[in-house]
Amino acid sequence: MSALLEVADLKVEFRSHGETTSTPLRGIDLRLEAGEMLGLVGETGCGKTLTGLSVLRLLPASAHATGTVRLDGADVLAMSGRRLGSWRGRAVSMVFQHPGNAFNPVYPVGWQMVQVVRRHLGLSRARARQHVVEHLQMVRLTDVERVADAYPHELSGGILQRAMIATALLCRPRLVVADEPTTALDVTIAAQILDLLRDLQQEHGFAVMLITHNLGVVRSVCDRAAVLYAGRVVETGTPEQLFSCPTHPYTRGLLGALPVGSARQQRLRTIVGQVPSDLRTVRGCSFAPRCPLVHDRCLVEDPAPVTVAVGHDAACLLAAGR
Amino acid sequence: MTTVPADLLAAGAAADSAVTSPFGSTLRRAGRVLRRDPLACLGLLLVVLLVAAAVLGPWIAPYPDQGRGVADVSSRVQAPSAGHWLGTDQLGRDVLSRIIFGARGALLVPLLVVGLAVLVGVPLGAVAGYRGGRLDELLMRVTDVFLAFPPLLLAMVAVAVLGPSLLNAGLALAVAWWPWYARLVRGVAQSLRDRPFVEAARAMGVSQPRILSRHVIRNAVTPVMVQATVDLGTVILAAGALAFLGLGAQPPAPDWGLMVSEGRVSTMTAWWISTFPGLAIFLAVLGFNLFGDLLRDVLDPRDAR
Repeated sequence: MSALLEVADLKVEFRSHGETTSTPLRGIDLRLEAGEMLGLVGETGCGKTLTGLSVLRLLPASAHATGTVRLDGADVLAMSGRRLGSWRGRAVSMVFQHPGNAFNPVYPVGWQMVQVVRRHLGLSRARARQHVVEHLQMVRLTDVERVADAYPHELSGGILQRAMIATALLCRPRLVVADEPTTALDVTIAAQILDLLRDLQQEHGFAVMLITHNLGVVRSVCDRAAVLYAGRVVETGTPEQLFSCPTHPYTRGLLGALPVGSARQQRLRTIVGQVPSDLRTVRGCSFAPRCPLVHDRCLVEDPAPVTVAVGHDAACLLAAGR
Repeated sequence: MTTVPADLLAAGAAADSAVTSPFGSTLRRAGRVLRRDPLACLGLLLVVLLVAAAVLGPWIAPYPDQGRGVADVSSRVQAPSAGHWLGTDQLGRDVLSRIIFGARGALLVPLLVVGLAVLVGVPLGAVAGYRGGRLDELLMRVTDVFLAFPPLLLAMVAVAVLGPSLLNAGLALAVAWWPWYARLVRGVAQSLRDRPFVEAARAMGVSQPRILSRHVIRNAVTPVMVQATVDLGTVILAAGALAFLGLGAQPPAPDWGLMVSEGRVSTMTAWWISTFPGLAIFLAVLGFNLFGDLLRDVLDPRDAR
């Protein structure tokens, strides 16, 4: 059975005046089954967001993508502009990081949602409004009529993020890309939003690509996770596999950096160094400069993913050696 | 108009919390600005007077026929008096009546010019700024060509081609004016292009024309409106200059610039013939400028002092 989303050898380059200035994605491979929730984890600058944007082909004009992105059989990177417009929002949609910025400040929230419904489902004004109200109720908002008529600045971040999830689900897409949907929210609201997303996902059976830098989030809601480093997937597996036997040193580093128990006890551990900013010149393993277990081969050989257990892959020479 | 957006010209976080308010609160804010700022009151007063003169001209002018251009040879070149508050011109026409009749042209020409300039400049600027790339380059080089000439000179050339008349002067000025709006809106569109809500609209499959009209142009309304109000004054001045040079309204039309021109030969002996129409131009320009400031303060609370 083919997966809902297949990303293979996805590379994204930024070009300026015909010259490649950076290569933030260097061959991403991902699979997402229908109804599955996949967590995409990594530090800032690993290419998480860019991967998410690539799935909707929302890349900036200077970005150039190669490889394949197939969603539900459609070749996303080869789609015509016209097709793309009717496809986005309908087959796939996106939940953004800052709900306060993702609605146009000069229109009421409900009006903006109605526009989406009318565009994709061709409903009458009244039916579209009804559809929007139903979806606002679906994300467990009360007082939905007031929310629909409010301007974005009149609503709190939590309510707006719920409204955005409702917007993303208006046309019943098969995949929702959620780019750090809880980063801009406080902890209790963030937990509610994640629960909501999880519940809706199980109820309606859409797949979610959840982009986050929070491994705790991955453990609590995701079916599977992919750890990204420097524009590559370095480890994939279920959250249990990643937490109980992390194989790639980067994953271990991320887990080590999680606060345990009362955070007061000790200083948080960090991974020394930073994500390399220029990936064009990387030789060998991109994590080698920061890796505590680095050895000579790492500096020359680029590790390919190897299977450590069923559904658990890691791209590390040490994993291959075992 | 039901709502007025905050000015979104400035990129960045400040604009993200921009306040949008229903019409009622806009009126309240207008009231606040007017109470605090006497110049804003003056601007409003002058604009109201101009509009009143334009609308009610035939009913409030003391000598309506003379206002339209009928000569009265019996009362040529009379100094201001109780019968003719602002005196009479070489053909015996009451200057006050002529000024009141001229208000209509003084209001309509700028509205026509700015209207046309907005109609042409705003969509082009929005497309250029939003799309970027080659199209942007092309459109901006075209505006550069227009901006390279002084507007008045450009308008004079256009009138020379079209033939002198009030309408042609208006069209000529519009030709010279639209690039400014294209530039203005392009800047707004560029700052909006990468804003999350525009990206979100793209992510939801909103079509490009809709993004342009609903998101980009809608958010450019405030800066355009403020600029347009100030330009109304500038266009009065430019139209006056064209008329003065004989390239605008033709006699016997009651046009302020034309009146200044007609009176210029006798400035030393009959100062009132040129001075009062000139004063009218001055006050109209001043009025529109102050009104523009008022509008900016009301529509963009962040700039309020």
